[in-house]
Amino acid sequence: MRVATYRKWFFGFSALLVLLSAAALVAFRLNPGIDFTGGAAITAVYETETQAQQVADALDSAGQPDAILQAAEGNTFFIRLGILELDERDAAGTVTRRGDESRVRDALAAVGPVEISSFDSISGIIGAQNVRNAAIAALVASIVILVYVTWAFRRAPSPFRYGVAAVVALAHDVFIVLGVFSVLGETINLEVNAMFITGVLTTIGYSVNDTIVVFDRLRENGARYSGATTRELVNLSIRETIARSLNTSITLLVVVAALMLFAGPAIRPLLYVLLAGVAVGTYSSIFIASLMLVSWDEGEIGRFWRRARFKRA
Amino acid sequence: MLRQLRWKSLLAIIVIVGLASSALFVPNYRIPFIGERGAGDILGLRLGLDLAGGTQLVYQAGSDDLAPTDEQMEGLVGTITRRIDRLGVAEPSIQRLGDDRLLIQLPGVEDVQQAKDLIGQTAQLEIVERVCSDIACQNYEDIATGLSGADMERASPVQDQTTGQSVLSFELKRSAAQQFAILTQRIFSTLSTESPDQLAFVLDGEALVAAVVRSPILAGLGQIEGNFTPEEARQLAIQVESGRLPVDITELSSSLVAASLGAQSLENALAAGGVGLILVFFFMAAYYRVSGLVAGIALVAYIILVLAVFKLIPVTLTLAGLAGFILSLGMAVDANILIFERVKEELQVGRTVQLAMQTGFNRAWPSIRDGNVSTILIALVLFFFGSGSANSAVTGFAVSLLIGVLLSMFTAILISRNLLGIAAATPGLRRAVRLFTPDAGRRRGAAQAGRGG
Repeated sequence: MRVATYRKWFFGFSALLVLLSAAALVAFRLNPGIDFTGGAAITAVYETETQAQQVADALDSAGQPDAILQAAEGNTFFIRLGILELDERDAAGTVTRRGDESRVRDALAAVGPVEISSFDSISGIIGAQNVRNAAIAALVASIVILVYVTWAFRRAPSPFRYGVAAVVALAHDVFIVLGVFSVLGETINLEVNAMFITGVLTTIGYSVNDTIVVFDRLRENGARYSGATTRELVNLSIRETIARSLNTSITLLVVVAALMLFAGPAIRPLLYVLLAGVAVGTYSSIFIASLMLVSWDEGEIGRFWRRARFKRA
Repeated sequence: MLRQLRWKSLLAIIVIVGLASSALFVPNYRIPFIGERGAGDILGLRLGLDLAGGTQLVYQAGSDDLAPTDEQMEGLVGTITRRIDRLGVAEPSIQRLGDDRLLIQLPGVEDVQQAKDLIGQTAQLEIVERVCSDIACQNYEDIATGLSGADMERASPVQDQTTGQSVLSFELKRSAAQQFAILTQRIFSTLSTESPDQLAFVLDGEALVAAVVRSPILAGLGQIEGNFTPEEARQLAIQVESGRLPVDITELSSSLVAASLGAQSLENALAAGGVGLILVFFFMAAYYRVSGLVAGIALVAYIILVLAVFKLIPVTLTLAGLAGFILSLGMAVDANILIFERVKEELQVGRTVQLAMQTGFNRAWPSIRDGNVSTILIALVLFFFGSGSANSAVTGFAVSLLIGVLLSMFTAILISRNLLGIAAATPGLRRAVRLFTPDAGRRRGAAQAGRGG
């Protein structure tokens, strides 16, 4: 297996995926859920035969003409609303005017006997905060990984390169997962929520874990065959670790797929992220992170950089 | 010597897994100084609102330009706790989130409106005259005095200079001082020895403290004695203050999950976990043979350990937490795969089963350690991100991932390694290289041929 020799193909493939993801993100954007925009989500289960139109009319009468309604089996309806107006209260805290929540509840109950099996309402403040915190968390996680990988490989030649390569691989994974999600948001209306962020951070963890396994073998082989070039070492290390990488990914994918069949809608976004993240994470740890080390070692990254600067001038 | 060490470790495994099993499978018990365990639904595990059903509310206290003080937040928690208690909820939880937020969890409550109405009320503090009909004031009647929290200047815990006791000191506003003086003078002058009347501070209809009037309070400055500990006096002052100067609260988010939906989610998650596990077992046993079976045993032990730790801490199990657990299960499987692949390599270069097990584990360990540490770091970042944004799903995921990964390292060292060692030392298995790896025999021949040519 001479993976390193064909690295331009792998880099090219990744560049293509990244470009496609960028295009998807520009074209479709992400489909933010109420965790990020604020708003309300309701699951209403009617005990008797109920038409979507009846529910839509009820929501309309409750002052929610823009409600997004999705009907599921068993007279179940998923309802998405904007940010709800709260109850108005006087100085003593007694309710003087009922807010949107009670109006919506009453309107839904007026259609027929109904069980509200879930009702989530989130204010705009929390939404804005979640967006900020998610960005901070991803950034902090990347820095922590950069520092940790550099430290873990401190005895290897140029450990900083290992850290950078691991972070580039994980940025690559996160970006492609975002791209996949913008497509899923457009096609099956999948939303980006707090569980999605959890999934992205898990992907980061998995991707780094996977990268470290390959790097670790590289370090070991480097110590064993002191005369070998980075290219030879990378080829050997990838060959030696590929069975483990694939077996681990397959086991994880099997478990996630099983979860997908059974688990409810609440954690489905998380599972989609894990599915995409594990696949792309395995790919990048084999073909991006370690091959980057080869390119760096052979001076390609410096050349690429200088050429880019030259063109700009 | 080596053999002796191995039996010792087998004993350690049996003891630890045995302890964990009894912690998990004994329905409920009491740990001295720590508390009761096992009040939950399945195996005594505590289930989160998304699995058991219930209501969760997050409130912001104070306004943009007026942040609440620490004491005000404490008072608010106390006030809301008392109101919730009246609602009769089993095991409610009212926690502070950061500086100025409250997280309220009400298991089993599906009438969100009622809960919100109760929580949203402004605290009402009144000073009442308590007319007693016996000496201990078992039976009494409260009479409104017209004085309320608005008439008070402050309440604080102080240490009495002469007696050294902790007392509650309070001061009335100048405008109300005279009314208070007349009131206390009247109660004091008509004080009977059989049934001495009292003054009480009543918050939301519930008396915080009631005391006999020892002398008329003329300048609006009084104190209440009652053999308080300093902490009791402080708590009392905080409660009185919370009624004197109530903090505004605004709802930030509310979430209801019906018990039926929670039960459905739990059933789905368990089914998914079960199917996933069986698939993993088959895969491991088919691919890694005897090693795979050992991994299966190690995984069962791992699951028992994790669930026992969940029960002992206790960790509230949510859907997100289950997802974190399943991911850590993946990491535990990965540790085994790393070891087995290394063992396979060692077998391929012609080492004995016993030696291959040993070197295989030692070679795999750095990857297991480094990979797990990076996951632990990510879990910590997630934990802080989750608690910062009041997102209990993210926090739950992070906590179970953290516990899971830590225990997976422990299982890899203690259980997988030693069981593999024992399997390798078992007569009959010792020479059966083929039982430990799918294609060692074939590749081994190839490797030797390769070396020869």
